[in-house]
Amino acid sequence: MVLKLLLIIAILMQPALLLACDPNFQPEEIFTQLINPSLSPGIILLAANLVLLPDMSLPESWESVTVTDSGRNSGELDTQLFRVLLSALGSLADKLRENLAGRVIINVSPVVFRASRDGLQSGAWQTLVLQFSLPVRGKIVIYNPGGKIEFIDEIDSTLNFSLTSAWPPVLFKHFRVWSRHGMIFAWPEEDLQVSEGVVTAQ
Amino acid sequence: MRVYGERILMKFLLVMFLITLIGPVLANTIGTVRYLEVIAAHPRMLKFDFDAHRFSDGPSAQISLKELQEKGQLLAARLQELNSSSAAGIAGLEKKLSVSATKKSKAETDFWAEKEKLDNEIEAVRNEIAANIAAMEFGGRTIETTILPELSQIIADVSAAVTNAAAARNCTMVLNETLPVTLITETDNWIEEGYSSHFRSGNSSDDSVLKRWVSYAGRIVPRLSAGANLLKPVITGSVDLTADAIKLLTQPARKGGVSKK
Repeated sequence: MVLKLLLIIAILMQPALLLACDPNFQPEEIFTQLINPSLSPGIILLAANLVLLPDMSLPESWESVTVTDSGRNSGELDTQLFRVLLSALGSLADKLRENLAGRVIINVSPVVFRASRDGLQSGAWQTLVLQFSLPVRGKIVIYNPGGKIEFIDEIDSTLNFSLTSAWPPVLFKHFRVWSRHGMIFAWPEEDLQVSEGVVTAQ
Repeated sequence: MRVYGERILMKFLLVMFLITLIGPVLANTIGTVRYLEVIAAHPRMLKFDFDAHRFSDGPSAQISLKELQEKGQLLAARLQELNSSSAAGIAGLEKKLSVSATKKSKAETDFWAEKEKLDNEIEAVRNEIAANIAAMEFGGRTIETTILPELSQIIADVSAAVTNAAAARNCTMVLNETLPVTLITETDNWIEEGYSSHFRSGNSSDDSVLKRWVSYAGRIVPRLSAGANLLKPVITGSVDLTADAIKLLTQPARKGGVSKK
């Protein structure tokens, strides 16, 4: 009876088993989800990035905050969030100046959540990769009342996360957080060292 | 009676399981192809200079030092012009920031649109300058990246020709029939000569060459790179697709082949 059940299970699971053991397996996307939250978490990243810039003074109030968003019609909540965060964080960091004005155009793209299966480079076993991206860019102009520009730049604060596990997901292998400027956090730690080595070599 | 029925069912399931496992293997028709010969037959390979490792025309072609110097001067001037435009753009925005709020908004939008365009142009010119400097350092030979688009196209054409040839012959699998020696110029001459004159021609009457080959082979193998493959795979019942692929690759474009440039 047990053998019969095992045989039936083997027949039913055969396509999945063959696929899981295929050494020539090509990367396969399981799903990609674009999420448009009413309040974009990317705004927090951009505000934090601005406050953490060294030798940077920030205006007490922003003359213009424009949010351009490919996924939604209104960015009013994001605008308010940016103003509140800059005011609070700037105050904490003692970077607010009265005699400055600021304009910003924030480009918020939908949050990307993606899952894919891939073969390891060694070909030993397949992996499940979960990726999460918070894309946000800000075009910043900070100037004094006379019109002299104190700071002008486009800041890309996009943050990416990836979690790699075995397939089926019973064992986690890597967790990485990186921005446009390189790796911020990597588990296990040797990943971070390799990444730093690559950056140094470049 | 019920036990008898269960046994029949078990045997049936077992047979079905084995058929599903073995079926795909038995159904495969294996094709072989000598990729190097197909690549060599590509029309663009007629323009390949094996000494310079570049094509004799197109973006990867060797350029004279004088031309490179002139191009370098033009690029430097262009970069300076773009940088000046960028600085002028910031100065222009500074002036407009003291005007009314509505005009500020338009000035800001226009500035960022113009800056994006300028930044792209500056990056392209910087890349061209880097390629120009690299070409001058190597006596006029262009950098390797200039050859990559054409190589990708050749490989794509070859892959398409092999795929079409395999489809025409109902092959579900195509194996690359490798050469027995690695393709490096440092290989002892007699290895290639021995291979060409003896094995390739199919002449096995001269035993002395064969014995010499076998006695030296053990010593040669460790010196060859990891890509060397002295053991040619033996495939029986396969279909040789090389000639079909070459025919598809070299026929006129209107019949599905690649166009001669």
